[in-house]
Amino acid sequence: MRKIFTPLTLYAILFTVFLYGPVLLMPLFSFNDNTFAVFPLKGFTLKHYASMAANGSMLGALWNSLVVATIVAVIATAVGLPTAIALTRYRLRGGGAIAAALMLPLVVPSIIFAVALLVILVRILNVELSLLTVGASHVFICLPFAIMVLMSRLEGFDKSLEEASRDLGEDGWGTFRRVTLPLAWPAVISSLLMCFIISFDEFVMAFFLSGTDPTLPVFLFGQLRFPNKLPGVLALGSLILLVSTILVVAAELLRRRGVQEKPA
Amino acid sequence: MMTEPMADTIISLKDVRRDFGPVAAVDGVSFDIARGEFFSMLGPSGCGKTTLLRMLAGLDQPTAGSILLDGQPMAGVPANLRPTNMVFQSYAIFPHLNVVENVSYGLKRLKLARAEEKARVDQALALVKLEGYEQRGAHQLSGGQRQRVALARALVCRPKVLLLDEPLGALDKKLREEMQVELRSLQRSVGITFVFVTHDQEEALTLSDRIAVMARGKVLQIDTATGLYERPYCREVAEFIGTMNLFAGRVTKIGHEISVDAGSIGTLRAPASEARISVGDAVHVAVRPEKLSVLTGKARTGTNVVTGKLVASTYLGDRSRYLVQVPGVPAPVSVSLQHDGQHAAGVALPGSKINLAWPASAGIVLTA
Repeated sequence: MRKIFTPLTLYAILFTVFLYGPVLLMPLFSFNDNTFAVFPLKGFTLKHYASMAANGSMLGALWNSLVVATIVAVIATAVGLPTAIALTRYRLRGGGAIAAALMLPLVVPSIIFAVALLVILVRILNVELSLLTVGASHVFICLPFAIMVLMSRLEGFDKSLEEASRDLGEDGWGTFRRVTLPLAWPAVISSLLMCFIISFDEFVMAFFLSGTDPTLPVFLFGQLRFPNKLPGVLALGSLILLVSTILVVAAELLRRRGVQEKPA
Repeated sequence: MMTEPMADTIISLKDVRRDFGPVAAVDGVSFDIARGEFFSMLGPSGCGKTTLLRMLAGLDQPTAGSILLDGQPMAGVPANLRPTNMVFQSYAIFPHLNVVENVSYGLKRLKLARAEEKARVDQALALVKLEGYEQRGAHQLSGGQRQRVALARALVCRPKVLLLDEPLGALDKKLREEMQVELRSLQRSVGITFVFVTHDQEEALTLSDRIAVMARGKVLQIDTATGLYERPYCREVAEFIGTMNLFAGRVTKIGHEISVDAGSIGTLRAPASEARISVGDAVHVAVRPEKLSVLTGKARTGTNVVTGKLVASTYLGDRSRYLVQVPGVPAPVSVSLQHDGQHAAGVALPGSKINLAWPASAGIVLTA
């Protein structure tokens, strides 16, 4: 006999509501015909979406974020793949220390890195703040995620596959191209998606390191001072929520497919 | 323990050594393998046989010593440039490729004409009896089929030497026996030198022209199956290949026969040995179970006799197996009696006293 309803089930439901309830209010209010995000709901409207579409500077910030996130995802994954191969395939001297150093951004608060980078860039290197500096800092914080995802996949498949390729006459590059890369491909895709999402909604680094061209989170933060802009923000937020959910689910599905292929 | 130089040597190992930190996985190994030979390296896990195979493939480098392959020194030659191909223990079938793509993997780099590549792949698949499986994906293959793909993939490159790392280990008993027969006839038909690694002595004895018995990174003996069974150099080989009864004692006289004082058993005689033995040495007189017979009458001269108590007898159809406890010998003596069709089985009852005899010429004196 399986009990359907236990105190733990109730706990799980409450937990989920607490976690995701506020998030779900955002799409709800984005369709509500009221400038203020308050109950009771007044009526259904799409005008917030229309005002969002008409807001040029907001769309500009969205475009900035999309460009930065795409480039960051590609760079972090491209740098992460050889790193992950080096850490899983070779007995590196000090490999453990290297891995630990690479994982630092996961545990050190990003505000510390942001301040440190700001000082280095502005005071020491005299670099002008721009989307480039934001992108560089995002590559830095995305790298540990990319390396982790790629390493878990590389550790998952039989190393004798690469040896077999060498034995059959392929050199290092040929083996990478014909065996390692195709087998690591699901992880490459999920690394790209994950880095894109991380960069896209990253606020702290972007806030400190962006110049006159803001990314979307920085722009939205600025908009919060104007209550009448809020519904437009809600509309955009709802769209982003939808797209990120799709991307994360896709990345997870890809990762699982990769794991299931392993025992074959 | 060196073999004499062979007329047509394909592989020549000289003082090959491989250290992993403080441990010597391969500890100064030298031997030659002849062209076209089916050569096995046999030993328990951790004896260095797989490390040796990987050094032949170029997947591992010796710490010291030299490897010659067809006369060419292999130091610094990477795996992809060696005229060897390997069948891996896990088979290492590329999971993202189908059977044809797996088999033709090593040919792509040669940039053959499409027709020729196809002909070679078809020929290799025919050789391992996998016609009709061309488009199968790697996960749709059974263990036996994966093994055949691995063989075809290696053979299609026409290596001078095929290296096999326990390729039958993952198969069930019946399939393994089938594949043994096939592997042997395959080797004869392609004429390629096979170097085969296994821990299964029966497999090595069935397949090989010669076998190197290894332990602790060293080669104990290299010989044919018959040689290893009939003339083991040392106790370790004697006990690893088949069953061997050992009687400990001290050498008392050396002539055309060796006399050994085996304590309470009395004096045992054995043929003179090639090994350096002097009077007073502690040795074992070794004798195979099937060389022993149950003595009913009086012993003939030139025969060793020991007396013991029958502890167990097992009827095995074509023969019976007796275990006899002989006072002064730690392990029960194993006796294998062939049924000649007239003798009824189970003549002796457990607990009864029994005399075992063997001609002096059937024994071997082992020093270690």
